[in-house]
Amino acid sequence: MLVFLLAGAAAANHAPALEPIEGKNVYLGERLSLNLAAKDLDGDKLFFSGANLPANSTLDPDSGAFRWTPTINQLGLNYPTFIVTDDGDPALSASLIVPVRVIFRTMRQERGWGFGVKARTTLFATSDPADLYPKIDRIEVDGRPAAALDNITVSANPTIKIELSSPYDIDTTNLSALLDGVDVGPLTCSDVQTFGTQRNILSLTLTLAPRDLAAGKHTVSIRSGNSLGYSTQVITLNAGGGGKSWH
Amino acid sequence: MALTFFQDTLLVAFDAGLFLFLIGYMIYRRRFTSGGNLLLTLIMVLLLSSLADLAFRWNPDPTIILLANVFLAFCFLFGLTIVAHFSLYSFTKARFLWANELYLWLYLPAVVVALIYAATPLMLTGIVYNPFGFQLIYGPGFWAVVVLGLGLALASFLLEFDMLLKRVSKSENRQALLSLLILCLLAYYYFTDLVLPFFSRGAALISPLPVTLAIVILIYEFIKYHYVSLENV
Repeated sequence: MLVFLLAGAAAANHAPALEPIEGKNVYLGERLSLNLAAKDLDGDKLFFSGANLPANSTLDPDSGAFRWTPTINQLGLNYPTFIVTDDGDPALSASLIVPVRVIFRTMRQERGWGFGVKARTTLFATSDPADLYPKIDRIEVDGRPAAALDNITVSANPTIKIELSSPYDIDTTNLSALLDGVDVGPLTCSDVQTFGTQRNILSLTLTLAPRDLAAGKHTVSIRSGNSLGYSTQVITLNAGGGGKSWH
Repeated sequence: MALTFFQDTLLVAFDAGLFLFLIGYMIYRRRFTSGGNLLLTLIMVLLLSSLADLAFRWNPDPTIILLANVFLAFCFLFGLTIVAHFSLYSFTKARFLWANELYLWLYLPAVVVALIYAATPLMLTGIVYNPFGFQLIYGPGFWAVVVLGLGLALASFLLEFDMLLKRVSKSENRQALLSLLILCLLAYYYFTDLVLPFFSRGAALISPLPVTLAIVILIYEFIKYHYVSLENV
């Protein structure tokens, strides 16, 4: 009986254990390297696998080396799950979730006096894709800058110039503007400025004349975006009158 | 990007091969003269500027970009000064003789501006970058680089063009024509690579093909006609 119990205890398999890894931040354009480590009391051979692993990441099943260079579409928090399994009988496993935040950032490096360079500073950083949508930076009505997006006083047939900017990119092919809910037609972009391979600043000019505005409040909805998504921003115009209702 | 990098690497390797070939040729033919050295220096400067440009492509690390740009500015100013030196020498030789030492003064502005460019943030203040690219931030002092580069290129162009119009001899005409061609190639390369980003906010990464063509023409005319050697002006 004692021999039987001892033999049973010797045969019992123990689950392996993954060494804990703290959550990581990885900046877009850089590569995340994690080396998973696990222990097994029985000395069984261990295999690494994963669940919810991000696209274009790799995990070596033998060494546990995880490598990932995130893309812009993977911005934000990601929760890859790492699993280690032994070859015991029965095979047992353990898992670990490592939160990884993918961050977009714009940096600046300045030159100093002498032949060196100064330390790098962060100008902008976000892990929220919405922060990278184009935003209205500046509005000019008939050549005069407007102070805010709402209650902009305009003439009956104003020319409105809107400057959009994005830290990432602006899709110039899918821009639209609605005046009181009605499409104002094709928009033309000017002053398109690029940053690296992306367009990040551009101007849109809406010429509402000869579709004169009636006196009162009007709204202009500007829809813009990029590969991450689209958003709409609303401008409120306060027309002085003299024109007819635009519908 | 990777394909462009390998294409450019091949071109730069070809340039380096030509440079070594010219050194070998000059040693073998015993044409290692002070005038020929000017040609060697010009080709070396062109080769270095191609290498600086290649560094951008190899690794777009901001520090590398900043340092390569400083190096490129030095090559830009020094290369155009050598061309101006040769043009002025060819132009004045037919009219009056200058002491060779006077030509050294030609290099002073290039050296001073290149040093200021390298050691101060007055011309290039820094770089802003994100995963999709970078933008160089220029100071108002960069106008000195633009004006000096433009001045040197324009002066060389006018001198060579004047020699071409004078039609002194068939040989001189051919030399002036080839020099103009080289000047155009270098001016195109340098202004696109270094000066255009100052005006357009973009960063230009252009192929070193114009430099390779200029080196080929320089070596060809040196071997075939003995041009680009001050002794043979």
